Amino acid sequence: MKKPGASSAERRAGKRLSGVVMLFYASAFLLLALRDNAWQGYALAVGVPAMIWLGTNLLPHFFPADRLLLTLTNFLCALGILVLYRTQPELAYAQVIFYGIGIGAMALCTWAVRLLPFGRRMVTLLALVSLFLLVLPLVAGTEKYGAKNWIYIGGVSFQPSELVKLSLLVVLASGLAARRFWSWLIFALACLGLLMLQKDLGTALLYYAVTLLLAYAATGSWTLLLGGLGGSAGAAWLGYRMFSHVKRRVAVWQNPWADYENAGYQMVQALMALASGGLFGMGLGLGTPKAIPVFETDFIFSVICEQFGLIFGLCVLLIYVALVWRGATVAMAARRSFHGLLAMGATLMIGLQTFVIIGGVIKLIPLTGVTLPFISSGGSSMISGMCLTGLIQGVASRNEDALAEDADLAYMQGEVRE
Amino acid sequence: MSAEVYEVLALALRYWFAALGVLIVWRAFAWLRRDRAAKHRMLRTLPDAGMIGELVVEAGSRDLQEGMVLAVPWEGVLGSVRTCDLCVPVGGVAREHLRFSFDEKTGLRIIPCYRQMCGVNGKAVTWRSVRRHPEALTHGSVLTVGDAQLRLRVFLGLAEGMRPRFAEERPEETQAMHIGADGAPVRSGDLPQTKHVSGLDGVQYGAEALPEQPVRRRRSRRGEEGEP
Repeated sequence: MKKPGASSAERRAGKRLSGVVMLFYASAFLLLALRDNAWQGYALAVGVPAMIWLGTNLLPHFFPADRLLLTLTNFLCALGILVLYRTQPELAYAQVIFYGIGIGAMALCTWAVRLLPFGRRMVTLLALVSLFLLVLPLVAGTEKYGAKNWIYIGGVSFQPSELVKLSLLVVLASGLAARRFWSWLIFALACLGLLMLQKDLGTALLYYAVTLLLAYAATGSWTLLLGGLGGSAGAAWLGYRMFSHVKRRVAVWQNPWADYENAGYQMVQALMALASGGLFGMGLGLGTPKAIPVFETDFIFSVICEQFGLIFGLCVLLIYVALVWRGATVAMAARRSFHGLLAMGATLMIGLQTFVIIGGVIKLIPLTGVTLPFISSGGSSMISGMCLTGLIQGVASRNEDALAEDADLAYMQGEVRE
Repeated sequence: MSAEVYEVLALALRYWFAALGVLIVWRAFAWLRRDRAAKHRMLRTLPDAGMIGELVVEAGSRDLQEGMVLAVPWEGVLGSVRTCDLCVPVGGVAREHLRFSFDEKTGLRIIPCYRQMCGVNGKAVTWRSVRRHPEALTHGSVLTVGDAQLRLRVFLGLAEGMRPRFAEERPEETQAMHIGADGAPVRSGDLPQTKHVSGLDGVQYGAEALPEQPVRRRRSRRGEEGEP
């Protein structure tokens, strides 16, 4: 079988897109370097475009990669590094390291999807390890921003729920593809229960939404979908009655100005940042993005819009749309249900997480504590985002292999049968 | 650089960054569109891409006539509703009757859904029995679901590891391995021979007895070089 490679048209398209991306980051980091006159700025002005070139043109030689997905992911990761360098340079340097680790994790996930059989035993083991990881924060975890979902090991902190996302997708895809109803349902409910105990309601919402949509994609059952939506409405009402911070968030969402000095302060600052940026932004390096509390994670989108403007913010949104579109295309072209569901689940996870956080920032929906994929500061978030992309890449490479095999077989066999 | 000069530069470069952002989005979506068009062009030259073979209808109904050909994907569900991967709208076939999955070593594995049954080369297969003894169709096998009788033809290249077990090992039993529409066993020699078999795209195939070798895939005239 011929090994599939990028066509010349694809390579040209990749060079055109990555060229513009490199130009963007070279000019942005150079501008910031001129402001601070720091050697780190000049190093990033050269290093980040080089990283993008390596990531989009050299990496596909080492593992089978969808170049468009790779380019878009690299753009978003570099945007996070840029915005963090503008606001808090130490976070940017750490983010560069996490990005490097993320590339490795992405390659690992790609190869895992290509090579591992994901049989029943492996999936069961994965499920048990994941449940153990979710129990860890309850036993030995640290509370942060009202949720006990962080673990500190040897000075390094990570969020187990970010890693368990991946095994949730594998277990769901495996169970739904094999029509094993109880296995995926019990695992999903167990994960949800543990997340509720951790009070990590944002991640629980994400897990629930992805499980429901994936189950609908696999079964086509409207009863399941409508029942799930009804259940989520009931759970939302219950959460509102049980948790005081949920009530606070809903009140802030309805009218942040009512208590703008306390509970509504964060939302008010974010909205003012969005508004003050206007269409083209305050200018990179100008403005006061650090006035927004937690600007480096939850409200990083507000910082982007303040610095670059709403037009650029819309462009970032459209990049996420392109990413989701590509992921959905890969999922629909998969030959096996397991791979299709895996790619669809990873795509849904990225898309829903983006919608939830950006929706919260622009006051479309109440704010939840999830991060913006690829852009927000944090190792766990970056690595899990790259791993999700790796899963989609793995399925995409299998699709390409299968199509190349079809072409080879058709070529070997000759004319149309008449 | 002084703060004033920097401010002027930063304000000027706002439009540059916005323009580059728009250009990045434009090129990304152009790439998506181009890929989609290229994929469609390629799939037009490979009409059987994603399929492992065909099920030829040997006995069906008004909606599924004798001689019709159903393309078989790698895995899916066979049932009477249109949302199924293989739609067999005949009496006795449930909405979702059985699941199938192709394995290059064993063949097309059949798993009847809960409380459903089918026949594989004359042998009854239920959802209970398949747990103990998984059933698989090979090239030439006959699948009986409800009132329909379907013969599997696997594409060349996919069936290399599979030999038609019944033809080679038990040739004398091959003749008796079919269940007719009335439930009585029918020898393959007594099955009605069709003059023409219509493919999914309306191409008329010549009448033929069951080929000893798996069938060749269809290939459009357009992509003669074989390159996508």
